[in-house]
Amino acid sequence: MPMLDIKNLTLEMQSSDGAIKALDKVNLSVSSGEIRALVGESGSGKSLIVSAICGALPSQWNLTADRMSWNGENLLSMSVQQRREVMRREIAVVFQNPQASLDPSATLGEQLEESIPDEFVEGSWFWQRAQHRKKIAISTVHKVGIKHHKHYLSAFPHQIPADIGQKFMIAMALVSQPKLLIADDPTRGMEPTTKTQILKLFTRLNQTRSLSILFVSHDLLAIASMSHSMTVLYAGQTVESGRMKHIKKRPLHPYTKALLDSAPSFRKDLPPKSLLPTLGGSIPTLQHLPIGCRLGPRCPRAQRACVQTPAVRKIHDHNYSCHFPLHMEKL
Amino acid sequence: MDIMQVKDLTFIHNERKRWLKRPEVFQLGPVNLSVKRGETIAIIGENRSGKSLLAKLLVGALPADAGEIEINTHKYLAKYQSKDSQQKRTHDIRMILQHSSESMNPSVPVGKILDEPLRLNTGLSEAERKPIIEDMLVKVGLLREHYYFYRHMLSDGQQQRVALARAIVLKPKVLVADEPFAALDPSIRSQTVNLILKLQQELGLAFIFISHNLGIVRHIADRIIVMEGGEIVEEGKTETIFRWPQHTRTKKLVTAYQSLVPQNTIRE
Repeated sequence: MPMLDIKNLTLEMQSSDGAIKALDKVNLSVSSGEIRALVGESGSGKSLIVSAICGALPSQWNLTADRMSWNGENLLSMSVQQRREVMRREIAVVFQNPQASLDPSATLGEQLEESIPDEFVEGSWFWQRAQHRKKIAISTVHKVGIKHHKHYLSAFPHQIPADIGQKFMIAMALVSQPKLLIADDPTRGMEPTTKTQILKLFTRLNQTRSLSILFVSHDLLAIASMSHSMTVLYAGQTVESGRMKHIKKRPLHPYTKALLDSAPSFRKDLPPKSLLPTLGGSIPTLQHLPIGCRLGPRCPRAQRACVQTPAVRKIHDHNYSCHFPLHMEKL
Repeated sequence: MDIMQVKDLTFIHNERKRWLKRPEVFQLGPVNLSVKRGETIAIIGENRSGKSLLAKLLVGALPADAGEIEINTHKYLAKYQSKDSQQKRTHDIRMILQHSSESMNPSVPVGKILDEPLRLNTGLSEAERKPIIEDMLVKVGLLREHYYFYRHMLSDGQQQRVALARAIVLKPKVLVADEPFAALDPSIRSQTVNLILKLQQELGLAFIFISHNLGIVRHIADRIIVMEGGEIVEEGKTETIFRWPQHTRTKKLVTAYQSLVPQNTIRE
């Protein structure tokens, strides 16, 4: 049974010319002990989904879902208190921009010690507890691969380089020992060596503590190397989802194929300096979303039927929504 | 045929010692480099290894402390910034900055952005400049109408195209780019890669770029330069570097990359 289960999540924003559906019937589920990748380009609503799960969306946006549950409890009808409890202890989020999401007026050490839940701290007297807190903070920081803890724990967010900040965000998320880690683009702008370090950390946590991870990114190389299953988003619609193995071997949706093709590392047969296959055009903005299948104007296989939103179809546990998927050769 | 020769290019950043502060010294180089016509060179390395600095020194955005750069048998001392040599250099070597969207003036339309290098560096009249700019827009895959567009009306990919157009509008021989693909989405990124490959074929551009994305480096680069701590620690053909890395830093980078790439073993 999935831990996090989201069905037909729709997010509507009001604008001067009517409601805009920023997310249109998104389905997503994360089982326990699974690494699920959420792939999409910028503007596809990845970060909106993350905020929706956190409950951090502005109240004037209209969020509806057929089902949005955490371990069988409905997240949408929960009281604020309960929701906060879940977010505090069971789900942890690594946000996109560490420099912007850390408190600029407190040192990193203070922030990290603050996020340690009380139950983990041993000792009956306040000095013992403070000492133990510090010990936990240092060991967590070492775990994510920051070496000079003395220097960094007493530094302010503006004094540290971006990749240390990113690792620090991960440390803060892990310190409360969550069941689900939501990582919103954790490897952006990192150099390859640091990136593999972080990915190895995630894989290890997944194996040893059976931590589920929702890995939000558009770095397909990183995703393919670690995740078990994948959900592809395009302009607020779920396009395809299924086991990583199957999708990599045989993508059914033209967009997924284009994404996989865009990473030259996946293809050994590609001669160097040859042109990469691409989709024409660019990602639509929220104000000018096409009707029906939103890939329509860029899709090489688009036909008249594509102005209707395609229903989700299923082959075993491989879901896709396309009228003319790639395994149907005849058009 | 070598189009560009760099000899002993050195840059020293020296923050002076104060009471309790230790002096900070960062030295880049001496760098020796030769670039052939139509060649693609990738610079890889860790953060703070001096990659961006090297790119800026090559273009002349920063004055170096010693060394000389030879482009088309014309020698420049990298140290001096005399008016005359600076003028000539801006024609032959141009740069694409890391964040293309932030490096464009938001209050000026695209046409004006592209007009500026022409106006400042050539003696062409306005009537002569406009067709050149329109040609350039078409060449990078935009429309003539984009002449009147402002920055915010363009998408990421289109902004990258404008940045590219601005770099090649003076018909340079060498193009230097600082992480041109980092901020782009996958599908837009492959469009840009294709565009650069096409332009290189058409114009015979030499292309020097910095990237963290080793997949793309492997795909388009002819030669790779590996930097660490302000020095070039390894240099060689792309395949050689990826198959037989020599220096420890290169080995680290390549193994980190290889561990992500799906391995095609005999089983498959």
